[in-house]
Amino acid sequence: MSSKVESKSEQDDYKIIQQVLRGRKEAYSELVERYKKQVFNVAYRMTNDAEVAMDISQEAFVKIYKNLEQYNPQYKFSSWLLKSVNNLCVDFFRTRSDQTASLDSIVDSGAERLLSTSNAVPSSAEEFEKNETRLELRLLLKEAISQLPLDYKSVVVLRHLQNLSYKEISQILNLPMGTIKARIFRARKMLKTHLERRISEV
Amino acid sequence: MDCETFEETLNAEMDNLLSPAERQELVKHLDSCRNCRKSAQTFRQIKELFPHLEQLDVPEGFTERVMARIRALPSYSQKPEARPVLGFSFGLAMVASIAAIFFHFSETQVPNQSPQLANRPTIQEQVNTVIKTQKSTGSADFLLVQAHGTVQVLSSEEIVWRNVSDQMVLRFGDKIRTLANSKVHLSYADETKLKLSSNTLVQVQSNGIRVFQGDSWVRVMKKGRIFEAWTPNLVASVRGTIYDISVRSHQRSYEDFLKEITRKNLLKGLSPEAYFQEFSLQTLHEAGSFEATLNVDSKVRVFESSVAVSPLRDGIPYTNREVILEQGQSVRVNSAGKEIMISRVEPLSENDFKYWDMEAPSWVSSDSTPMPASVPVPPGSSPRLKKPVPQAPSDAESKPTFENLQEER
Repeated sequence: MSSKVESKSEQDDYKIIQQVLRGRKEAYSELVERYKKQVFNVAYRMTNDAEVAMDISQEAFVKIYKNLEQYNPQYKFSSWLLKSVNNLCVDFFRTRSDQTASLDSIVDSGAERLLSTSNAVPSSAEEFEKNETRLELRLLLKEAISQLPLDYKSVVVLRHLQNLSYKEISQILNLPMGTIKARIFRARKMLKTHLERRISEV
Repeated sequence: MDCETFEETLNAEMDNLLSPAERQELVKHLDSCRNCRKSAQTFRQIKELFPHLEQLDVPEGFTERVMARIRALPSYSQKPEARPVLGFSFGLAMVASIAAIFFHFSETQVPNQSPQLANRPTIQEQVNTVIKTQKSTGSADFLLVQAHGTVQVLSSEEIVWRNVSDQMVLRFGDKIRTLANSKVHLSYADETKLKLSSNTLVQVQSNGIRVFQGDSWVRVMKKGRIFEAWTPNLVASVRGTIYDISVRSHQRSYEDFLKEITRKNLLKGLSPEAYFQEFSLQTLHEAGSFEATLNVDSKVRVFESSVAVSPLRDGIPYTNREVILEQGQSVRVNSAGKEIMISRVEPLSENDFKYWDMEAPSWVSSDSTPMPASVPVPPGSSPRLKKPVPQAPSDAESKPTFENLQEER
């Protein structure tokens, strides 16, 4: 976590926001530049569709602009943005007919059985670094993330991809820390189950 | 520690939440339990793999696209105190405004109601409102002559569209819009006439109109009257005596917007009236500024006399790129993002005259030339303007002009 570096950029963020609120619209482009990659990649991980992620990212920045007066400098600007991204992703999945795999179908896929099947998993981190299957594992992880139910996907993306703390995630998702903790735990288990199953298939 | 509590402890470990003592206990259990060791390895893999997941590069032009939409919204300093609440998702689709202008000069008196307009198949006589000649002049800046269907006014002091009525006092600065199967005829005090076809939104000003989208028609009677039509990407000024102007939109209709918004807002439990209001405001805000509107295609046709057309960027005319259209000529200005292109000057066809139910003069070719195909917009985000064929200034001059203007904003 790079909280020291962030606190400096947070101040900058607030300065920019104040400029925008004084009517200097163009200053907003700095915020877009600053956070577009983060926003886009979160949206992409959540939707697994670059085009949708692009639309959601644009929409998030426009929405935030429209509500900029309500910005509370107690919170990070990026958290606020990600909150908007998350809401838009929820909307997106809600209006889509083909929902992601249900929680049960993933959880019930036989974690216990898979835990006992063992192969291909290197025994140390060093070996793992060298392992040629890493690329393959990455693809499997990508696949596993994309199959998570949205509630679990969001926590795991924010926690591991964005390296946010439980506290930040709880602010973004508007949920108690306990819920976030439980969801992250559950999400990791689902990812693990998926990986193990797929590895055993190889 | 047993295998039951192991996973939970491990989970806390992944987030560095364990005390040294708890950690030691975890390690002890891992040493003694083969299954849990494997499990821990997989968890660790997951954690370690995350930072290595590919990060996509943001598609080119992203910031510009966002900023174009931001520019179309009101600035904070300009916002009225009672800012409308726009707390709903407009959906993922971008609102693109496409408009075309047709100028038309006529020496003869054109009937108030163009038969062509009335007979157009889209305008069925599904009339909600019919208003005939507004009598009271009072303090009104302009008058309602006739309204069919749903015609609404947004006065500059208000944030709600209201259906027009014959008691209404219309002021310069008011926005007028027509929904589907609707039309309205307006008149200035000096007899300048304005007609709007369906799905049109304009702002009426003393010296011209701002055409947000749609199809409109203006005729100025008074000699020497200056009248300008502004679209998001061009301004067409006429210093003639009698002329007509029409702006035609190729944008999605209000119905389509409405359907989309309906679907979205039904989910949120809003009443049809509520979403209609929200939708109206949203549309207005999305189209509320001429600055940097996306994907605009404007066209000017001149039937008689002449018109000066200047491309616009961020509301600033490029006067050094001004095209003077003589009678029987048309030009298009196409803009997408930062790019602005101006087409060659094209001759009018018989159909252009027919559109306004005019008889084509003998010099017009009888070819039924369709609307010219869209001018292709080159890729890349650097501003550029192609010179129109009949004009001489070099491209090299025009580029810095665009860039300079961009920087000044």
